[in-house]
Amino acid sequence: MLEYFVDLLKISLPILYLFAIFLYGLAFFLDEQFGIRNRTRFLIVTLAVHLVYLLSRSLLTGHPPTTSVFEIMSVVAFTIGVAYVYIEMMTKVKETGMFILTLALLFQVVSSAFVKAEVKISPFLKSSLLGLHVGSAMLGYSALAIAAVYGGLYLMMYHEIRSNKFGIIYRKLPDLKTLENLSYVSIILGFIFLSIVILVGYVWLPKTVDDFSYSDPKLIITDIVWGIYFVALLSRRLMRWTGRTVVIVSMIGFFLTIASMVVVNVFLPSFHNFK
Amino acid sequence: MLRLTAVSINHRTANVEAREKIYYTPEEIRELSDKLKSVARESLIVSTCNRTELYLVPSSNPSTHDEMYELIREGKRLADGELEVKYETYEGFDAVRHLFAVASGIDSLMLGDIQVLGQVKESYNTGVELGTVGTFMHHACQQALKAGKRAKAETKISEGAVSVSYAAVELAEKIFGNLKGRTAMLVGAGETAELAAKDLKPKEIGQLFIANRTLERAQNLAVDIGMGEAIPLDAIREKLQQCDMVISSVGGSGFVLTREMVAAAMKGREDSPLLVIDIGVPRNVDPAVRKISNVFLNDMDSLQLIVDKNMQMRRAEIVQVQRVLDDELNDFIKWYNSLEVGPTIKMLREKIEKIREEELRRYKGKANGADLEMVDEITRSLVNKILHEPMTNIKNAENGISMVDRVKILKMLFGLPGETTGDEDEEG
Repeated sequence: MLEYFVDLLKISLPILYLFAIFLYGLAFFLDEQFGIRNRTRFLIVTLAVHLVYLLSRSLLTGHPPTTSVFEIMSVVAFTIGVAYVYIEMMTKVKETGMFILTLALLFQVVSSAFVKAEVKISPFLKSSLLGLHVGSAMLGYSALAIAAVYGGLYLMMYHEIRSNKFGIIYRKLPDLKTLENLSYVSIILGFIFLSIVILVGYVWLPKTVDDFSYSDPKLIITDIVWGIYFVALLSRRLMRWTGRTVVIVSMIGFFLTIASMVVVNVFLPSFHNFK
Repeated sequence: MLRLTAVSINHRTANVEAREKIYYTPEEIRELSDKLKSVARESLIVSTCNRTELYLVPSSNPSTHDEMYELIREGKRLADGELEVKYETYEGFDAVRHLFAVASGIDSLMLGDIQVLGQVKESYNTGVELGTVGTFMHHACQQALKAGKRAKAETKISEGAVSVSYAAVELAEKIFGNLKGRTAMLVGAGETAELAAKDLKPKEIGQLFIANRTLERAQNLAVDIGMGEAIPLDAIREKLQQCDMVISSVGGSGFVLTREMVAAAMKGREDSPLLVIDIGVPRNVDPAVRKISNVFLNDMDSLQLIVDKNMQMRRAEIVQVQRVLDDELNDFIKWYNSLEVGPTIKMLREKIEKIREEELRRYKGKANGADLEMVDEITRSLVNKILHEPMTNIKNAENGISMVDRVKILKMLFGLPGETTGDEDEEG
């Protein structure tokens, strides 16, 4: 019974995210009152359903949904949604929802398509530090993903103004400074969480994993990503990088993060593969 | 039947010269309002730079539109032939609808004008103060103000810049967000520069340089607008690095801002964007400046494009605004109908009949059938006779009291349901 329920939610979630994006799109492109009135409300309902899905999945499998890359993708989709609602409430900027949620939808679609009902869990995944390590990773990835989307929106707006188009992007998106700030704050949060991930990982993994290696591809790429963000943040401080440079760095950092998360898990041998 | 009549002299019926002649100062509004007390139960005068309108709830002898126009003309002491303009006329609920349209900005010369709502409010306040706004106009004005606020909040009728100088400010805000504390430079001290400076000042910019060939003219402009530092044209290079935006509108040939100058300034700006708006003819800024990273170069055409797109957007919003106005007019009509004499008399009769029946029921067991029938007959006749005179008087439009007030008094005396405006009734 519970299995059917979890499957039903798994299939429903991409549809719910799609409909939330549709409502944000209605408001963005057509100024439809239906979309304007219901977009945030519907997103909150979607996130509530997503939370029920994650909890019932945990109940079904007997472990938190953080033991496979596809389970993690669903958690990332959820945290992107929650982070977005928080940002929307803080800044009152609602026009970026369609773009941020598209990212959440992508993660959820991949997760729903490939996640398996049962996975064998490695004993090291039962460690008490797992929650901190994986939880920080989820929040970090989500924040960096959001930073990248705001970065992308910044570049769209930048080109819209430079090319004298003044179309819907110009009218609807927040100003460049706001987009830059949203991207920057998301980078800082992402960087903090990524630091916790790495710190906990280096303390915990050598003691827990027999074949631990500092030359593991995933560790190296994560360190590189962390390094890029560190240099970027330091440069902003020391060299007063602003605007386009910051958002380009945030986007490069995010694509490398995705590489760490997906490519390494799928294509390279690693002790760090949840099996 | 709603007895409201309105005459409007506006941008459709009169040119700017005529509108200037017919504009009423607050003192003139007072004088005209005093005169109107003898011909109208209620009145409202709305006078702005683009319209002068007179709304009247006439007393027993209704004023014709021509008479109203004459009142407006005489109020300005304009001689015969000194003002020959056409005017628009509105009657009944159409007049109320027109007032709503004025308050919402869709009737303005500049579609979606945000100032007109405040001007209608001011007219209403003046009317209240002078005692010319009574129950009816009070309700019409309140509903008009509500309609105007809703139009602004629920539609985009007032969004986006619709003047070239304000489009420049809007563009700057799209780049920098808040302009507070930012530094701007005006190159040229002509009319365009003045307009831009006037739009920038309320944004609390930190510093303003005014560069001009004739320094004295730049100094005069700085004095006129109450801020700014006048600099000679050859000081532009030195100050450019500090500036977040430059608006150039100087005459003469040759570029005032070259690519080399801007590139040098950008080196010291550490990635901070620079907005350059070139509205000079011929162009003041080398178009190659556009190629420098983080420099936004816009010209008159691009500002006009912003204005055109905003106007297009505002025009598309008219339908939405009209829906809001229809909503508010429906509410107003409901309120007005609740004040109709007929339904109120019916309510009063039903209430008294209910009291009579309840009293009869109390004595049902204590008297025989024939006696009860007789009492029923007597009380019915008594009620009819008592109500006959008040009912006749309340229907009589010639008794000097407005229908709205007659209904209000009746409702108050007998505790009948329905809206009453209580203390706000200040009919003149």
